[in-house]
Amino acid sequence: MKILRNFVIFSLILWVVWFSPLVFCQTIEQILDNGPTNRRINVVFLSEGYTNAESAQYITDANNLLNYTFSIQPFSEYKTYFNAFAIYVASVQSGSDHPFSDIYRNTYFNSTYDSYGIQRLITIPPNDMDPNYGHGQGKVDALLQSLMPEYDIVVLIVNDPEYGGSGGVLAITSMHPAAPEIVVHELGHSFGDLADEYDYPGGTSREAPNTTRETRREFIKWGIWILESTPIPTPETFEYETLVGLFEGAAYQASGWYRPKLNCEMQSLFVPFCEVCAEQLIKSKYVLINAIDSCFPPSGNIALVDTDSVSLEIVPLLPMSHQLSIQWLVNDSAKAGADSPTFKVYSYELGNGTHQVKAEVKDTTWMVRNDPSNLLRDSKGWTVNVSGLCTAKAGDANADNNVNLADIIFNVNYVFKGGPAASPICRGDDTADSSVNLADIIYKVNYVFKGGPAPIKSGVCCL
Amino acid sequence: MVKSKFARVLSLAILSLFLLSLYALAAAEKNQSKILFLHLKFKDNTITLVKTTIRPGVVKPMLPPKDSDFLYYEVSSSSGVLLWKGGIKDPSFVRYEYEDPDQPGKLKVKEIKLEEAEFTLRIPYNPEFQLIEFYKSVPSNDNKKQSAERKSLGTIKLQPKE
Repeated sequence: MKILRNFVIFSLILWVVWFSPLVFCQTIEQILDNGPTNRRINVVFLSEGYTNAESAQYITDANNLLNYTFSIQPFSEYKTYFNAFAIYVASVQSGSDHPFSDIYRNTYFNSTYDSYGIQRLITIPPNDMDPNYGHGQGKVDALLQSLMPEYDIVVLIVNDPEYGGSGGVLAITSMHPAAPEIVVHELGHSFGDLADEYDYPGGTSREAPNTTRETRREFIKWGIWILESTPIPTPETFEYETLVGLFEGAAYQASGWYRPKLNCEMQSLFVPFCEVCAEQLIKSKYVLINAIDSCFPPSGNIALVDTDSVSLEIVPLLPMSHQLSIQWLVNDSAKAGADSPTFKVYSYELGNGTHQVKAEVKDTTWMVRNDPSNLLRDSKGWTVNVSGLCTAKAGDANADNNVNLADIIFNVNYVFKGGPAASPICRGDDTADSSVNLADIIYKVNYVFKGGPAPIKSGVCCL
Repeated sequence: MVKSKFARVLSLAILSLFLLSLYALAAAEKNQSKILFLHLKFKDNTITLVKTTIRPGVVKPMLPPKDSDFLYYEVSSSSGVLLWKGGIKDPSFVRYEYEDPDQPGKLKVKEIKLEEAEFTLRIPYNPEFQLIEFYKSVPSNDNKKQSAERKSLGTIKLQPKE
């Protein structure tokens, strides 16, 4: 009995350890769930300087940071496009190193303030205090690989009340209430490919969605946002403070480079993203994920026979306060009123043959005016093959549902007097030889007046 | 006797369930998209491979790299067919942003050039991957040429195993 008990315990341990190898040393908790990780933008928070006793506090802090980030436009409107995860790893001690004050803490990622001689600059190795990648960034990379390989945005939360943080490969923030702003600014870089708009001697300038050297109004990339009445370049005066224009000073240069607005999150912290930066951040979301989240049946070929029909369905993403527009198209023609997520396709509406049915979804948000690459548009298509559909009666050339003398006259008019053709043509093609001629007239006369064989069914003339 | 038989059956059941779970897990993973993680080292203008890891998942598309401080890579098959390409920010060039203590809200930058940089590259896994070549795009020395030239940073043979 003892052997049995030991075996069962051993088996259970084996089971747990095999399937949750990390359960005892690190945990991951989903704090925002809006869909599968491969179809959502995944924000991952990592804990630094939280002891075993502070794991619950870490989850609260991660949630607070998440809520702060998603209180800012355009992230607030598109919160449903994101998932968020909090990875917890315990540190031996709480807080972070403060070498200027001779304070050193034993923490998981070995974070430190005072990096490179700057008191509020928090970094993890490799840095000037510890060049070993394996002590900091290497641990971040390893955790992400094992716990959330589909990460998109990574933020390290340092459990220290002193103001500090940094933006770079990894966004780092302390628990000071004002510190998360650097994370928001960093999202502009990592997520929207936005450039810094402030002046910094020696920085490398570049053309970005929010920086330019172009001063000709018609060539300014954000020109669609600029009112005709706004002068170019735009004076830095109160009058133009709330307008998009072309303000000198951007991309680390005080002159020769321009930005879209007097102030913006990419210029200074605690300022909202300007219209141009917000537009770019929205477009960036659609680089990572599709506006159509799923469809049924899967995009591809569908066969319809006779009077079959099929319901097609798409599931578009759903921003917080507006819906994406939907339009169904059949053979590239928009179907009037077909703007709901489901669309029923009837074979008799299409007719025999191959047809293309497509759902187009577009985010028509007012926050995007400039989308030359159509990033805000998505589509799913199906090829529908209809066969065996009977729409007409063989021999019924005049389409009155009877085969009689009137049809003979219709055929005679067509063959000898240039009258209208039967539609579809098979209605007049009694012999089913793909042409309408004297033989069809004779065939029909035989049928109507002499009890001959009925017109031969062909194509859609098979009723 | 009855207890002993019961013990054997229970043990067998647990073992079978465990093996079945492993099999199901293996079968599910076989059909999943995977991500290839390359742990790399960049030193003296040469990139070397430290370790490869394969994990389930999907790599989302990225905005095409535009910065001049990007490193580019191309992954090809044994027959030289290009299977994947992309770019990453030069990992030896680290840029930290922080708030200026003298001007609240204003940002400052600290740029660091590392002599040796370790980094992780994430690409969609393809069993056909054989070689990965890293290069930098540098301005052409030939005055007649307008375009940039490739400066190779090394070619690595990949043999990722699942």
